[in-house]
Amino acid sequence: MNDHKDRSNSKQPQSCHPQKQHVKDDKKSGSRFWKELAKGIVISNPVFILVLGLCPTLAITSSITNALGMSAGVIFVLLCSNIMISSIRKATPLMVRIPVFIVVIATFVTILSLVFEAYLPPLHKSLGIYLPLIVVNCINLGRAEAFASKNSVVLSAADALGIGLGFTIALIIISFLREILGTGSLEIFERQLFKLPGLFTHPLIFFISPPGAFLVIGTMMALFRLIGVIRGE
Amino acid sequence: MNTGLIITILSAIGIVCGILIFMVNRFLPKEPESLKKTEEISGHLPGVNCGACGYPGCFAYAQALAKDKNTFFTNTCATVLQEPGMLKGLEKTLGIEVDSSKINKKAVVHCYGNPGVIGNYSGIKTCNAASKLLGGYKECPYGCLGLGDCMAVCPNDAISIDKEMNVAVIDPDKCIGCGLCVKECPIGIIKLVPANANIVYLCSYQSLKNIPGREKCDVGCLHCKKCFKACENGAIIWNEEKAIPEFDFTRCTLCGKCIEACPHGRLIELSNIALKEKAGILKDKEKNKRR
Amino acid sequence: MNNLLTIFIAMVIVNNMVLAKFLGLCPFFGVSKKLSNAFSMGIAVTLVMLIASVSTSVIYNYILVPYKVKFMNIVIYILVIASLVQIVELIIKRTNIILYNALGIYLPLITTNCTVLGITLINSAENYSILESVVSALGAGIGFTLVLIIMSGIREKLDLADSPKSMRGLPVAFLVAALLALAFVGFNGMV
Repeated sequence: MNDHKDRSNSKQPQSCHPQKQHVKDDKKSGSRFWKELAKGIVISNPVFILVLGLCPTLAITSSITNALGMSAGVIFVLLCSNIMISSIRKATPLMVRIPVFIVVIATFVTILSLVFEAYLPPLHKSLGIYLPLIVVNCINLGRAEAFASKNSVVLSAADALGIGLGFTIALIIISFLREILGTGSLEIFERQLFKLPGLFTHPLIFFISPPGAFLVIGTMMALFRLIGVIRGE
Repeated sequence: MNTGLIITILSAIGIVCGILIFMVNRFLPKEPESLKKTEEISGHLPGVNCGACGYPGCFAYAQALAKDKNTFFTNTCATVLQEPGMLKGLEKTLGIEVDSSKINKKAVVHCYGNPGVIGNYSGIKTCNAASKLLGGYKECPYGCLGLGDCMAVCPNDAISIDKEMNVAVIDPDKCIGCGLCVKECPIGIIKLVPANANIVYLCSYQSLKNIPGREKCDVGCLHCKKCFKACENGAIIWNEEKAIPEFDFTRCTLCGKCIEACPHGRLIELSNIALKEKAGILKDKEKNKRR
Repeated sequence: MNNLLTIFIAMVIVNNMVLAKFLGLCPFFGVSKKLSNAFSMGIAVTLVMLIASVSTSVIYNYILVPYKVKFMNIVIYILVIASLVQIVELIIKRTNIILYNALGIYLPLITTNCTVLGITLINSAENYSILESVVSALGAGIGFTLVLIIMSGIREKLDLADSPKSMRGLPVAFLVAALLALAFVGFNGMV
């Protein structure tokens, strides 16, 4: 009965609506580099705060190997596409910029897919169709549109690294939880790190399955929001 | 030679896509001329898309206006009526003249509010759901349930809930008279009154609906007819069937005699509705002490 | 015939695009607040999926496979889908402008929708013929619309409930999705 107007208190998911960022001219470009880097990890964490790139997050976090592989791929694509788009930003006409961005990102994803297929076949197989789906991952297009098309090459690279690292950390957290609870052990690249005796014999398979993914990410998001609320944001 | 193959395939598909888009663009009917007029009209509309005019969105309303300008009088956009700038622009574009005093309306919740309940309600917190359970959880079956269905629907934030008296209050300054809350209220106690109404009567109890054990609240309308007798200008008409007063505002001089006469303070000036300290509350408490 | 029916049912409920394959989550959580919006979005996506599926399947079966350049599929599919969405947008804009205004921003959003690219990639991964691709796309679209409608119905009511402050909005929607996914897991083993 009380807070009817507070219903939309939570931020709308950014999804595929990129934010507009204002670029301030800073003389010390070196310190800005690290600042953009840090921003991507905590303040604008792509998964928990910006709510971008949900599709691969939920699908491949069932094992930490997949998570690491996917995040390495995303960092590669993000970095290369940001650098390339930033270098050609002055030459692209406004009307065709979205198709141009998409084609650039698609090219780098194809390269990534071929490299994985050649050098890491088991990873390529377990990632399945989610590897090509990096193309339509909102992170790439969103950062290209919001940042790379407006800032210099160095800053775009920093932003890509920051967001990529934030994505990696988020993926690692989620897959860690899911794998520990779901299988009772932790395996990286087929090397077993450790196993929890109780959970190993009776794992909670729920967490490996799709519903578990939704549950974990929903709880993590609520947790992040709670931290934000406690800090008084 | 593989590179050549790749480049050929890619270019071929790109060219085919480009040609397709070009052909679709060329052979589809052009944007109609009337679109320009519609866009001009929709520039004068609020763009809230509340749907109160009966059309699915402001753009559809603009289309209807472009076809027939008299649609403005049959389906009036209440928001435009309140904004002189928009109204002037619309009048100029459409070539019509609007006398806003004749059409303007305000919504009023015809319930004074009473915190008395017959039990604790713990169901879905909407008036719609609550009203289906025994006719609501308030003592009076016509009482406002205060769960805010009307508040959620108001496009102008004119409605608030008075928590002490558990009733919805509509601020007449913000109300644009769109009528969405009227449709939303499941008990039907929100009604539109003309904007130049001076006095409103804040009780909806009608002895027509006899639910055993459910009487009006203890400060409800007594049907004593004192307001009817007090009015010297004949502005109050007594509805025998429903046993409630009805108003003819062309005769009301705002002398305030009916407000004084009502023993439970159910009559109140329209402009005073949003005030927190309703004069009536103090009157009730004093009178109850005297008794 | 049996095979087609199997593919169709598999796509609608067993391998549901949203709840089992995690594709199309952006519109799932973004659009599903009002039932009418959800329905329009679902229909638009199904339409785009169908046309995209047909064209990409033709390209895959008649160009990519014979010339042994299967790896080109990513770039080519995305080109085709982007052009397709542009064409659909043009057609809607010129013929039914009210619908165009109602759909608003959702139409360009379908380009970057995982579902459309996802279904084309699934079709090529499973080596479906053209007819099988059409059935699969139809099933996927219907499954997507179904889940979107269910979710929006629940969310309309959820907005009125008293959730803890940090859970309001997206987190509780995820939990509801978890329950829905759990229900759909029950369909496993049906085909």
